[in-house]
Amino acid sequence: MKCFNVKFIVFTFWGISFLFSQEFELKLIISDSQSKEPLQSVNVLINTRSGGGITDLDGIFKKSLPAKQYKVSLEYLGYSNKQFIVNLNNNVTMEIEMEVLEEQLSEIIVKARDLSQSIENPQMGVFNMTAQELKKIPTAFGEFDVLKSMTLMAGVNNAGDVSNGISVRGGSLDQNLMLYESAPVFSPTHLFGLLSVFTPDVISKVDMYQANIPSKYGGRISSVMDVKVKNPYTDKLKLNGGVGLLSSRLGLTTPIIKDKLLILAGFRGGFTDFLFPIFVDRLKNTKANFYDSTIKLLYLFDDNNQFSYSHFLSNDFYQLDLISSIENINSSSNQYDFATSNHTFKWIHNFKNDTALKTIFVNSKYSPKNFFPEYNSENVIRFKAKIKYISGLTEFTDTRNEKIDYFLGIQLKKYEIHPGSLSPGRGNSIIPVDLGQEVSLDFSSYFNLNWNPSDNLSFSLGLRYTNFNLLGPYNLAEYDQDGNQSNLVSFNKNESVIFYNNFEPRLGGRIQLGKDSSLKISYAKINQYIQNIYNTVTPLPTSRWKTSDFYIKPQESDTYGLGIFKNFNSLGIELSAEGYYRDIQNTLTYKPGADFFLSEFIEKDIVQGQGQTYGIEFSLKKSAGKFNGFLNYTWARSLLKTNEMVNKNKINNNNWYASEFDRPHTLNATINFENNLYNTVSFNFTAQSGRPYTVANAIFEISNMDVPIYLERNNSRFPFYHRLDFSWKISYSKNPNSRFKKDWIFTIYNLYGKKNPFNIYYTPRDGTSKNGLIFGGSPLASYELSIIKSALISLTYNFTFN
Amino acid sequence: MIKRQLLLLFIGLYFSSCIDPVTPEYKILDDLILINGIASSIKGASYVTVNESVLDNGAYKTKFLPDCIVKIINNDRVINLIEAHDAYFVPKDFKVGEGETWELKVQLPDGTEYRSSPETMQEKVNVSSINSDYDLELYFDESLNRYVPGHRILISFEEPGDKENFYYYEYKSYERIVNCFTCYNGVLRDGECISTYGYRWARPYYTYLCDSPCWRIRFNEKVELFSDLFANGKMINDLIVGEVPLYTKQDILIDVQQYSISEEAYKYYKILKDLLENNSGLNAPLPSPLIGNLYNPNDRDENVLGRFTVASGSSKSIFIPRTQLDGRFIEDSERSQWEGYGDPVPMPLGPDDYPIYVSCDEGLYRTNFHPENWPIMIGESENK
Repeated sequence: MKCFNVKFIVFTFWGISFLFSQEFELKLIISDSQSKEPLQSVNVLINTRSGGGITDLDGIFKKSLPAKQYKVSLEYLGYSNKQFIVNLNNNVTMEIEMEVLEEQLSEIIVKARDLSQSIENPQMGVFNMTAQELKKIPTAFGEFDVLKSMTLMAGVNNAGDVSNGISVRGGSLDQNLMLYESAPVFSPTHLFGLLSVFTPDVISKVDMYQANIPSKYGGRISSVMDVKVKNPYTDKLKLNGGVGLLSSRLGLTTPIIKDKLLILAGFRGGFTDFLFPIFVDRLKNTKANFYDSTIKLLYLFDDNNQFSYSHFLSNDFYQLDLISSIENINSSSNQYDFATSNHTFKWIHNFKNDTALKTIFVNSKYSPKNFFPEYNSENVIRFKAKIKYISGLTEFTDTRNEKIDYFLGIQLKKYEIHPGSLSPGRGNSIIPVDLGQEVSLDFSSYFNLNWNPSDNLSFSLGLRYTNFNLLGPYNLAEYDQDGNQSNLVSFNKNESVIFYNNFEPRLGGRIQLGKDSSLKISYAKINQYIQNIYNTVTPLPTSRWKTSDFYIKPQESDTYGLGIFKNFNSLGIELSAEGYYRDIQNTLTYKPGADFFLSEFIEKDIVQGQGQTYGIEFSLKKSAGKFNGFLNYTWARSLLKTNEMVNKNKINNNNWYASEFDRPHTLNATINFENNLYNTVSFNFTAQSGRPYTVANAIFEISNMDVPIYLERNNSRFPFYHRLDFSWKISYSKNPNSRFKKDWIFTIYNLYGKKNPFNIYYTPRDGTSKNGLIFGGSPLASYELSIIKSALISLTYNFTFN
Repeated sequence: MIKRQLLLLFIGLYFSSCIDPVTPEYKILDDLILINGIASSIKGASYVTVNESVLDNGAYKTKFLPDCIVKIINNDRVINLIEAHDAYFVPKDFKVGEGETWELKVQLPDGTEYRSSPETMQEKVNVSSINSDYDLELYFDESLNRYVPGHRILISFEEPGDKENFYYYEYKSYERIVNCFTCYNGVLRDGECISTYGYRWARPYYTYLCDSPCWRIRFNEKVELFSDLFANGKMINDLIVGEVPLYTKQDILIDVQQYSISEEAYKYYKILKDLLENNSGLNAPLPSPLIGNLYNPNDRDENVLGRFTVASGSSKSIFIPRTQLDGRFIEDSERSQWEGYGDPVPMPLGPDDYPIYVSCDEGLYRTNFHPENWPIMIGESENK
């Protein structure tokens, strides 16, 4: 083990003070231990929440602070982290040498986490990735992408190469809570699922919980993905950005008031759709533009109080032939426009004794729209929907005791869902429609105790109480035995329509089996009160969101987990095997022919059933060394079942069947080779069982058209999915003192050009002999839609200016 | 310059074609029957088909099930349907009256009985006008890998505002044809194509003239539906009810039927539309069983495919001249190539043997009856 060669030289004194409030200057001079050259942009963190900054060109950091004892941390990519205590009872200057971490020559591909973390933490099914880790993973179009990277982790999947979200442990896309700076994101992708919406340059890290989800989170039964934005600790202007094929980016970090008010801003935009028809005739009617931006203001009020405000804005506009048109509106095209606008205000107050109070207010708005240019008219018919989300949370954390720490909090969430309105514009061809909004309150209180009775035993004991209340004004339809509406009950404003109370235990336990291995168990119960209603594999951004009501009961899951973890510290290798079983009640399925677009009483077309997912995840990680990376294999099942009485609503005759996210076998491997500071080469291989889909059980001619007839659901699978990706990052910033650093990322996504189908479908034969050998004697033709069928070569240019 | 070329290369790779033909996969279930019945307000337009799915020479096909006893019933009034041309038809003068309620009863040759729930004739809504728009890029055809030109058929009508209405559209098109038969790699002798194999200068195909005026009939290839959910009581203008691809540049007559149907029937045809047309995109709905209002009275758990629909229809037609249109038509193999005197083929024609005429063969896809509203050309007589 390497020792840190820290030399302290303390100079004294320009004065003597006995007053506690007196300020002294802390000056750090940081250099490379071998070359003795000053290190610029070293991250200096002081007492974590007391602010910090970075070193200047001469490797110097200076800050005036009240007389006190401080814990100082130094972080610099490619160098060993340092931590030390400073008693600031006078002006202090320290010369510090940082050592290159031999095993981590350039940026750390999988940041050298504390290897003991997975051993000592009773949390199961959790992983996190930093921005640096995310940037190394080869992705389509060379774009750094949170969701695509997440799908390489054990247990995480999606609907295919385009997917408006992720599936965690076999759950549906809407069963994951996606938070960006504590605010929910309802539509997490750009370009029909090709890219995530999270502004790449401002992301700090992503935490993913999929087993005993901490009691501070609730509302979605499969997982929580918490995306955090960097704190803009800086004392100078820093610019960064990049130019890629699909999008271009620009970021800025700068102090507004030195050591007090700091700002971080990032912007990304993609406006290259004008190129589509130049190269592919098929795409001449396709439009696709997007942008997203994140701004974070950090105000360091004093040592104990820190305020931050974040704003996230995302907008997409597209028109695409590959999306079915909405019925009953006579338009020449269907255009989609959707926007997210989130505001997060956070106040962290540190008490003097390692306790803290965190208070967060969130205001989130998601507003999907459809535009329908009327046929043979200049008029545009508009559909608008909206989700308004307001949340207040306060949480107290106590970490004073090494054996016991805890947090407790309360949260109040208010959902206002406006399912939609249709405006005729200047025309007169349709009648205006405006569905009433649904208002609901979700109050939660939670508590979590981490208890370490001995070195070999630790527990995480959490409990969350939720009270969900659907409020008026609301029209509740009542139905007779035949399912016909018999009555309509109206509720006044703020009158309770129905409420649900639930207790949700979140339990985790760890038994140390030896020095480097442990056994973990977990259990979590979660209720979900809001769901995305769609009858397709992946939802459109305009797909309707619906809170639980009188008929649509909350989805409910019980998840059990058991895992064994083993570290080989000398090799820097972590091994784990985690098994899980999740039982789900009230999953949503849909009646044949269901259409939810501006439908007032959608419960008529919804049936609720059961689900179960189970599996075992094997993981091998090597975080350090020239060769590093991970290998994950998962065996898992995801099954659904209806319990319907009406024949045509029974799916697969009420037997268990594979859900769209059932992937029995999944293998993901990422290997990084970091030969020197300037070149990083990465390979990513992914292989998994094909997605279940439905093939016809018969073909009948109806009204002179050959029609595929289905009586089963998901009775076949797409071919095995596999793909190899490659990326090569070339850094040009050889001079550590250079203010301008740049790099190129060269990516080949789907290196060997595997055509992985997203959809296979039937069409009528066109009456010609074309493709006759392929279609044979079948009355129907069949086609395979692959989103990416060849190798995608990308070159992205990135720069940083300090 | 190099950078620009690289950029273009990359983009070209991204957006290469992404739809490929594959061998259709099925998991055929045995003994499936599908019953499709329409009782219409148009005289003679009511019919019922009873089909089974069979394996024929390695291919799954629809096979008409003969010898069924098929009845439609309105209280004490029972209409027996007569088997003909792979369907069961009502008597020619039969039509359903407005407000009447009918149900279907089918007995298979093995004695299995199926019935429909009763369905009531909806109020007829007349089409006030019909129009067409020509588009050089009507839609993208995957098999041709190009945009296909054609016409959109537009209708206008006054939507009654007293209740919810649901509509289903069909069209039938008529194109005058000159050639009634084509022999590929052969010539027509005594009603059969004789191979021209070995005759080096023979043409790839020969066409043969019709012996009387003859029209090709085509039907709609898409399911068109409309609900007044957002337009109750409005004047509906230029509603697209059909797409007519430019198969040929022959003039064409389009006869559009607008059927008023029940909400349940609309939902059934919506499933049919999803199965046929909305299954290819990124948001393809999960396939649903095509189950309507039929049941087995002796086995209520049996899923009975199909539907009996009572529909009131109104029709409107439009004649579209197409010979001067721009755009590449689809059936370019249909150019006339008549066999001539002395052509280098087997059994060559003598000077008095040509041209060879072939009869029009009246049927589902061809008629020699002058279609109603087909303009009478100079020198033509209405063969009606």
